[in-house]
Amino acid sequence: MSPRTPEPANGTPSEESEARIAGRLARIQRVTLLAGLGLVLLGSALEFIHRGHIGRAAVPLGDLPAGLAGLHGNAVLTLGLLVLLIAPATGIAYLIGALFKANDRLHSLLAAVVLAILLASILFKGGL
Amino acid sequence: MSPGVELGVLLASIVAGVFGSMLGLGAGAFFVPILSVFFGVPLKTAVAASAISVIVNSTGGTSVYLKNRLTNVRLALVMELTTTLGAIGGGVIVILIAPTTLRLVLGLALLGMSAALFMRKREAPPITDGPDPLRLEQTYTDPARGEDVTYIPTRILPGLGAASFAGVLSGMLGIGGGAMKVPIMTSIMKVPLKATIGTSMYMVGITVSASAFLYYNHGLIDPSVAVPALVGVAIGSQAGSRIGRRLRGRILTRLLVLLLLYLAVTLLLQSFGIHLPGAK
Repeated sequence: MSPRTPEPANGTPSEESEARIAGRLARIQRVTLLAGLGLVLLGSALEFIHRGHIGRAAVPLGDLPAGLAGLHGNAVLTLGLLVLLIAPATGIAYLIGALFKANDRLHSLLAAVVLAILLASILFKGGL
Repeated sequence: MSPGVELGVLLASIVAGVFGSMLGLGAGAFFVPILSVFFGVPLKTAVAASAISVIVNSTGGTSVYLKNRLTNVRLALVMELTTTLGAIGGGVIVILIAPTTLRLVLGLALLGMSAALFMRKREAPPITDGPDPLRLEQTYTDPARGEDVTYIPTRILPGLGAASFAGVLSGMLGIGGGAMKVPIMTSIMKVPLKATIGTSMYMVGITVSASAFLYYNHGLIDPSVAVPALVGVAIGSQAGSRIGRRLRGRILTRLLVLLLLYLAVTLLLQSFGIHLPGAK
C-alpha cells in the first residue's frame, strides 16, 4: 500500500485523494456498464437463437429469478438492462464511503441522500 | 417490431448519437422525435429506450472527464438533490399523461433547444474567489490552453431550482437534460463550459436512472427498441465526438438547428392531429 497524504482539516479531500476517488469511480462505472452490456448482448443472442427475434416486453422483477434459472434470453436481457439502470447508483454508493474516508462528511451525506432518492425510485410505483 | 424496423432504429440511433454528441445535446434530443415521427414507435416507448441509451452514454463517457478533473463530483451531488426528485416527478407525469400531450411538450422542448443552440453565447470568465460554503471550488487543466483553471460555482439556490425543472423535463422526455443543465451551470452558476460539460455528462446518467426504474416498473421498456437504440447510440456518440472535434462549422450547427426545428414542428402538428407526409 502506498502512503497516503493526510486529509486537510476543512473537510475538502486533498488533490491526490480526489484524483484517486475520481479514478475508482470511473472504474466502478465502467465495470458495471460492461457487465450490463455483456448481459444485454448475451440475452439478445439467446433470444435470436430460441425465438428468432427480441421480445417486446421486459420481464417483470417478480418473474426474473425463474427466467434466469431457465436461462431465458429475455430474462438475461432484462437483467442486463437493470444492471445498466443501476450503474449510476453503484458510483454514488462508492462515493458515500470514499468521501467519508476522505473526511468530506458533507458530500458523503449528500451522496447518501441522492442514493436514497434513487433507491426510492426503484421501489416507487406511486400507486400508479 | 420487424427486423427491418429494428435495423432502422439501429441506424437512426447511430445518426442521433453522431448529431447529439457533436452538439453536446445528447442523442435523445434527436433519437426520441425521429423514432416517433419516422418509425411510428410509441412516444413513451421511445422515451424509455432513450433513457437507457443516455445512461450507457453517460456512464461510458464520464471516464475521460473524471480523469481530467473536468467533472466536479461535489457540484454534481449537490445539483442531483433536486434534479433526481424532478426526474421522478417527470417519470410519473409520463405514465399519467396522454401521448398527445407528451408530444406537445417534446415539440416545445425541441423548439427551446434549437433557439438556445442558435443563440449560443460566448462564456463569461469564471468566478475564482468569494464565498464557497459548500466547498465546490475545483481546478482543472484546460487541454486546449494547457493551463490550470480554477472556479467557484455561484448562485447555488437559483441553480438548484432550475435544475429541478431540468429534471422534470428529463424524466418526461428521457433525454437526460444535458441541453438544459449546460446553460443552467454556465449562465446562472458561472461554471466554465468544459467543466460544465464534464459535470453534466456525469449527472445525466444519475438523473435519467431516477425515472428509468419507473418506466421499467410500468412496462414502458421494449427491448426490441431499447437494444438497437443503446447499441446505435453508443456507436454514434463515439463517432460524433471524434467528428465534432474536426467540424466546428457554424453552418453544420445551423443545419442541425433546422433539423431540430423540423422535428419540433412535426411533433407539434401531430399533437394537433395534423400529419406531414413521411411522418407516422
